[in-house]
Parts: sequence; structure tokens; C-alpha cells
Amino acid sequence: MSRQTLERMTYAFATGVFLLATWYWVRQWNSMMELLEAAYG
Amino acid sequence: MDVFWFFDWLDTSLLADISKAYGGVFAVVQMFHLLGLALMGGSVLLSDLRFLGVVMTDVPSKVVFDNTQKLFTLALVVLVLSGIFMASAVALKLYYNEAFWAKMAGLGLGILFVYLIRKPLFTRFDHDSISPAAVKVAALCSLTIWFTVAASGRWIGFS
Repeated sequence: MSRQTLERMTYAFATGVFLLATWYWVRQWNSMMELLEAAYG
Repeated sequence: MDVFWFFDWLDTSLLADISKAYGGVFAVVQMFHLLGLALMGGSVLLSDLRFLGVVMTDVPSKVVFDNTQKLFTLALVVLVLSGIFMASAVALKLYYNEAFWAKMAGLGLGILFVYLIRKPLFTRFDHDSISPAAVKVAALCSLTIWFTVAASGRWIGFS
């Protein structure tokens, strides 16, 4: 694979990862808050 | 694709017999898992922070990458092998654990990223010829994936 192809793959893959990670961490944050609320009110 | 059969088999395998019956063996394997985590975390942080220009800026990034990539692969092998053994002790519990599947998804994405994109890009080409933006995006992507994998792994213990 050429350098340009690998660079484009990097951008595409990273975009997917950043979107997925944002969705996952918002979800995790909400779970953490629920746990904390259940534990400490 | 349902993989319940694998977890069901793992739960009754010889590995599970050993991991459930011998706490000492489990603890030693867990120690190797933690050493693997330290090695992987260290190699990821070192190479990605070098790409971002945060650490070891006086050392060529190629040198840092080549050395840390070897350690990364070694750490990955240790982590997967010790992880399978540890998972055998609680295989059915893990099957129903959301954080475990998040970790596995992250691990799969991480392995794909490292061996299909990151390693070919930084091994085959002179780092100066690669677009600086691509280098930084690759480093941030790698940090995001491995931080998420590690945090999800920790979260298994809370859920």
C-alpha cells in the first residue's frame, strides 16, 4: 500500500474511532453518575 | 454470531478447573497480566507521545517507534494468553458483562489499527515523508483506543 493510501486509512479509521469513543464515553459517564447517585444519593 | 458456546466450553475446560481451584496460580498469571498492561501502556504512551512531540523529542521517532513496537507485540501476546486464563475463571459472568464486550471490541479495533495501518505506515516509510497531521491523528487514535480498552477492563470489576 502506498503512503497516501495508509494516510487516508488513518484519517478514516481515526474518525470512526473518535465517533465511537465519544458515544461510548458519554454512555460510560452516565453509568458512572448513576452508580455514584445510587451509592451516595 | 453467538459465541456463547465458547464461553460455555471455557467455563468447563481444564483451564477453568485450574484457575478456579488454585488461587496461587491465578495470582501469578494475574501478575503477568498486570506486567503486560504496564509494558503495553508504557510502549503506547512512549511512542504516541513522541509522535505528538511531547516526550523524547531529541530521539528520532523512528527509533522510538521501532523499539516500542517490539515491546507492544510482546505485551499483547502476554496479555491475550494471561487474559484467556483469567477469563476462564469467570467465563459465563463475562459473557453477560457489557464492559467485557466493550473491552473486546476496543481490543479488536486496536489490533486492526496497529497491524493494518499504524505499523505499515511507520515501518515502511520515512517519518519525515508522512504528513504531520496523519502522524498526530494516528497517535491520538492509538491513545484513544488503548485508554478505552484499559478503562473498560477496569470497569469489568465494577459491573
